[in-house]
Amino acid sequence: MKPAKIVLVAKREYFGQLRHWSFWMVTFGLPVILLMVGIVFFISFIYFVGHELREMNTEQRVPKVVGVVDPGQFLDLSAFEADEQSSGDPKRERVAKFVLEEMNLPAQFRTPFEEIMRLSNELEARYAYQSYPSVEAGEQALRDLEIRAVLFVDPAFRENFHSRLTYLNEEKTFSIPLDPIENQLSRNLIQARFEDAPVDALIEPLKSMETGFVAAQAVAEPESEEQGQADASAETGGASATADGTAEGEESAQEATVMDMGLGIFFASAMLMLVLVSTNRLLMGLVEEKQNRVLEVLLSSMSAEDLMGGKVIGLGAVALTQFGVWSMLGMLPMFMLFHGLDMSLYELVLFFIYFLFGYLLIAIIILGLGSLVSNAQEAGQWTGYLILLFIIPLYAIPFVAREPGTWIETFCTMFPFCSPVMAAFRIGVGTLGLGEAIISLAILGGTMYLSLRLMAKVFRLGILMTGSPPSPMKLVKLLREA
Amino acid sequence: MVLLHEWSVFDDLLGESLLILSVDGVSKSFGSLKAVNNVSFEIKKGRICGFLGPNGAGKTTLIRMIMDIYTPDQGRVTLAPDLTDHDRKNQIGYLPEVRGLYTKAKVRETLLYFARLKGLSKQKSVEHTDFFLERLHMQDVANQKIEKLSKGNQQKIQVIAAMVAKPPLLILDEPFSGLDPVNIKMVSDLITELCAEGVSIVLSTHQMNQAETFCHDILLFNKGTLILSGEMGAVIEQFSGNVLMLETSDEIPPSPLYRLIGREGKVSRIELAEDITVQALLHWLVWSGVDTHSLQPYRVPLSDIFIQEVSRHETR
Repeated sequence: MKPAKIVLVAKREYFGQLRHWSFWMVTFGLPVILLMVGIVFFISFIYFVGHELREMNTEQRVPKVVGVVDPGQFLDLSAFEADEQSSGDPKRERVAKFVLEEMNLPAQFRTPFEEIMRLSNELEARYAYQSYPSVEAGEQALRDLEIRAVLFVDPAFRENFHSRLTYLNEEKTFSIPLDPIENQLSRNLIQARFEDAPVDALIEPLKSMETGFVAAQAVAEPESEEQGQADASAETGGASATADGTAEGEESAQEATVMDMGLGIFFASAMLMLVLVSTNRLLMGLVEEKQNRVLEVLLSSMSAEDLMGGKVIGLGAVALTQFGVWSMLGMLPMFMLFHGLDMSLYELVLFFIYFLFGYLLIAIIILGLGSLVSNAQEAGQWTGYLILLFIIPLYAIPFVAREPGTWIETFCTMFPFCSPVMAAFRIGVGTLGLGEAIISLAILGGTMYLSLRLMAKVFRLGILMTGSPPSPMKLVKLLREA
Repeated sequence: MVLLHEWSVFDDLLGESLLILSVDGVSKSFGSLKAVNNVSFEIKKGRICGFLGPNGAGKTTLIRMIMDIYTPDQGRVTLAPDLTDHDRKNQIGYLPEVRGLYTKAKVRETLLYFARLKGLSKQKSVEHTDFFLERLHMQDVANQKIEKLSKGNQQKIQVIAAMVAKPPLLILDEPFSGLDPVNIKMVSDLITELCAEGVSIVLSTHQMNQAETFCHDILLFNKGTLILSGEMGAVIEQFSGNVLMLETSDEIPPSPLYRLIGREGKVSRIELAEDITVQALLHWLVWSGVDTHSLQPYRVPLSDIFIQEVSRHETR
């Protein structure tokens, strides 16, 4: 090993890339394009939200009141408790909440989102029911936009079951909650038929069912016991309350990690792009040098291993420079737009180590395989499968995000060709523990070392090879002889 | 000249030793193909040694083993003991047959890079690069991209790249390829000059006339085997034998003193009979009244030796 020569090659690769216009195009052009697309998307989003809100406002001026005309007096309006209503678009609400809580937007941009939240709160308000003496009086109130609908219950309802609901406009109807009214009418009808019978028992005959337990004779398996306990706890009333609480907690946790999830996806994408761009650069450079026959001149001055080392280090430094610029460009708007970025030095260092290991692994293999080919097309065929392995985690990320802790997550974190991208995602989300990271990095490092041993041999063998690349079988044979 | 002074440093490095390279029983196979088979030779300081042989004779493989690009399966390649104290690759300059340059890079920066890779300091690299650019009249294109240069100029850059570190051993594979006569003269003068300064040169070529002009020694390979080696003059003499070129006004009469091989115009090619000296022939010519204009020894062209020896090896 001649460190001075490795440094020379690395410096040449590094500054050679930095001098090339395509480097600056990718480094600055890509984030700027993404930023512009994001801005256009955001502005379009605000515009459409504003447009919908303007229409919604007209409707929302009508109070949440339903007029009831009940000459037969079947209903007791004072006993009604209206159901809570859904706001209609929970995703939009979540986005609005995220924008208002996390982002530093100017007032004019905040208005549409504040409006969404206001309407959302209003929609969550309960419906009220107001009695009217006649259908005409009710319909007049409807025309005056005092109520949203009129419900008429025929005085002979017990015989003919006739009722009618009148809306404000044919084309724009509100979703009127009729369940409580229907429930009261139902009870009323049952009461009339079975005068002395307990109505509750008729409607829900098993409601007051008793429950009991008997001791099992055989000793239960530990797993069954756990299952049993889980089942038992699920049966209790308290458990239902807890379950609701957990669901709420998960929802709020989900909202809280929108930022982390975005960071995770940014990290994973950045890792993948960096590795792909830099290794592609490495491969193209190697193929070009092979076609130019510069390699033979270089090998007359240095060993194949030193050349390989210099190239990997030089282009690794290029990739890190690119990541540095992307981070700056990416984080600047993050800090400007958002209230803060929940990222520690530990996460940054861990990302850096994963990038370094992942890049080195793929770079070493690509250099080895790339040395066997003589043009870019052949190079693409040889390295395509390797790149696919790196892309797999991107497909796994949606599953992992939805259901953390599954075997998919563990596999992708531990499998050396998937771990850099998956780990980058998990670092961003904040779910990668130190212990797991150490094991994963150890596997990655071990694979990297073995690849280096093998690929150095392949590189030395293939670098001056001309013509068609050897078949895998032939390659194994040549390696044995080398 | 800077060059002359700098090369004199090799005297100190080599000491009294005249050998700069020793190849001892070297073999190399690729699968079932035996590319080089038990080859041994030595190259002395300040000599130009011609590497000759048909395509596929194993010359490039042998050169790559000398350059330590390939490791021999058997045998040893050693540089002069005093030189091996340094990085072996720094002691050999290499001009490959096929041009190997960064076409998109500029001339000067490419040469500086190659000089640095040979272990020169930054300052020395600049000095050597400027010296050779000037020596081959390339200063004007120093800041141009290599791809913009003509083929001949690219070849000159490749030649400089091999020499830029001023190594004690130069391996030049077809150095005159693509050069016009003016540039051939320029490069050949430089090679001769380097040789005079003590640099050893391995000249691999298919141009037999060039080999005959430049080389002090020749090594002829066929199918990985060294089939002929020796000092150029001795080899040609050995193959020329007692053949003479006799220029006369008329056809020469038959004689037991010689055998007529052929006649072209006024020149007859004759082979002297055994034990017959040139003086005896001259006496006979005067006595016979043959109008003789000139008499000189016949030198078998190297190309004839090449063809003869390779054919002989093939049919063996």
